[in-house]
Amino acid sequence: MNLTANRAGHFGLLALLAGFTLWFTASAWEADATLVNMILIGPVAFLALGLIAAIGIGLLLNPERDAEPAEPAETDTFRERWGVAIGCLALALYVLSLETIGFDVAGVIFCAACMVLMGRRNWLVIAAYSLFVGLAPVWILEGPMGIPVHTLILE
Amino acid sequence: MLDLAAIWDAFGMLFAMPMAWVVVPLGLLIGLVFGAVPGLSVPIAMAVFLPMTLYMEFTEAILFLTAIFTGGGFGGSIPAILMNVPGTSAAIATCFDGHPMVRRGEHNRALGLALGASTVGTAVGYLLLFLVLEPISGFVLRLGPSELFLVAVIGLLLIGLMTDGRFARAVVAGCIGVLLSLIGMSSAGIERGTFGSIYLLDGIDANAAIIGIFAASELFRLVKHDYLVEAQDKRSVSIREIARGFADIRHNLPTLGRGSLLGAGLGVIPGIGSSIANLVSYTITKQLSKEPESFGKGNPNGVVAAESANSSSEGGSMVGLLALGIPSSAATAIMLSAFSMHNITGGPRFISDQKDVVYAIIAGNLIQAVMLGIIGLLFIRMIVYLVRVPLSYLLPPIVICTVLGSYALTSSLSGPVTLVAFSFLGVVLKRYNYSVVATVIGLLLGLMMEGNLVRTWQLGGSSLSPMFTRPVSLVLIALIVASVALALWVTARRKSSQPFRQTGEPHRGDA
Repeated sequence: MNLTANRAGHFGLLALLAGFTLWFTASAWEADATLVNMILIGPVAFLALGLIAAIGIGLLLNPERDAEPAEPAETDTFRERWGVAIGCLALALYVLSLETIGFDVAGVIFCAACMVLMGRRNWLVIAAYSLFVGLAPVWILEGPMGIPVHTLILE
Repeated sequence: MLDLAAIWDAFGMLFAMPMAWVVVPLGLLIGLVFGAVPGLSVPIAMAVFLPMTLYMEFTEAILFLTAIFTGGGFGGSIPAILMNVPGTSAAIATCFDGHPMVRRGEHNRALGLALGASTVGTAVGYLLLFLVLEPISGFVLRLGPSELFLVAVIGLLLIGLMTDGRFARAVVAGCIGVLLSLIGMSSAGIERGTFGSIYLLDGIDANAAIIGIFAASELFRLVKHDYLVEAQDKRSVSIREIARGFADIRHNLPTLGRGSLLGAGLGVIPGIGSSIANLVSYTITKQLSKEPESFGKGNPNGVVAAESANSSSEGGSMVGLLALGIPSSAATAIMLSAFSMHNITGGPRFISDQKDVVYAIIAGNLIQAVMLGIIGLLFIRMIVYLVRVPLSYLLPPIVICTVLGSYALTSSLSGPVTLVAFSFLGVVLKRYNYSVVATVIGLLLGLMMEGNLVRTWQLGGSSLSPMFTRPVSLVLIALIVASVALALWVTARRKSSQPFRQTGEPHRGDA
């Protein structure tokens, strides 16, 4: 079997989708096994699992299918190669830090980190722009929109 | 039938309200801004500004809210075209050809085309409302739960038609979307897949999920680029080009007419209209085209099809509100709040007793469509400069706004966490050509599908017989069979015409 990284990823995705479908169906069945509760979940889960199995078998029978990514990797620079992965990580860290270091400070750090990742090196501009972009939306959220958020600097 | 005396009174009423012509441009501008920023949305804008309507006359209040609705409808297409990030779920199909036009340096024309289609679409939607308000409301009342369920199934299957041979993957993605939408407490009070978390009792927040799966995952892709338009010589900003794009809709009249009619018709259907109108119009236009392979690569007809349909669906969605007193979307639900704030109840009685007010609202919206053309041109003129801003300056505030917008929607961290989880899911699904559009449509329609299926079961006395005995249901079932057959045929044709293809290029329509 031709198990390239891309094909392994596809098998992993199929396993994830099948796992979620099975887990959710079992959860719904345990909560209430009546037909009214399972009237849509049952057929949809059955269809999803059948198609996932068919796609998986198709992958096994066709060793060339999805051997390489549909979009060839652009590997010229660090940003092109790792930009998406680092972007995902940065977003996750930003969201997880919102309640810890405050929406304002988290926004400033996230903005500065993104600018550095994308090639900016003028620290004065990065600092000024990050302060504005990090603080202004939080102020609007708290002030005019009246939604309370956890902040460290802004009152 | 049209009541000419009431129409005359309606225009008299409109021109006797100078305040209306102050609040309408303001509403359009608010809608454009809220629609253009991913994470904010038209319902948020309407909810934020709803208290202001207490200080207005009833007609002024409704015109103000419909102006936000109209502005937001077009505003959502701006990030869809410029960044491939739909500002609203109604702008999903606008991405498919709008963004490829931008990558080719045709950003001015694409935005002008979208504005032209939106302006005409909005006008057609309200014009149809003028002409067929009462007959349509009668037809809507005849749609039962079985028909609503089947329409949702058609909406999901249509996505399969747009994936050019990835039908099975699109159906899997749609099924996962449906299952995700059913997480939480059911209408019968049964907890499903909540892990015991109170945040999941109300289910996954569809808005945060949509922002994540579309916006955030697309923004990650932009990290690799320096500008929205890579070629420096194509980053021009030209009001003449925008106006030319606006005028170019005259070359797309069949698409424009079809999209507007489809949008107005589908917009009537509660809970579904605007979300699928743009997709249905896009799919049909692509299937009828002599060059279907050019769709997803920057075909102007794709932009016109999507925008005319989502704009005219606004007029359709007003049918339920005015004729039946039933809101068909979040936006019309907020309008219903404005109705009750002014002690007015929509419905057949409202139409018969206050025909002049109803006509004034419709006529006001027709004039509003013209104003959208003018204000929209000026707005685009400013916002199109985004193509000259380096992405290192553009991306951080957009991501921050989307995260804060998702927080505003839920007033808890569950919104941003949902956004992150779905952005990862979006990245992975796109990598393997699973339609994220199908997942989103499943998410939007799943709960409604379950409710209508249960009601069909109950109405049929513990059987689904109403689905197979009602004439409209039978027509819809025939459409489902035809959709599946067409999708399988497209899949077979693709495989036979491109046997050499191993991985399949990502189709823009697959977003």
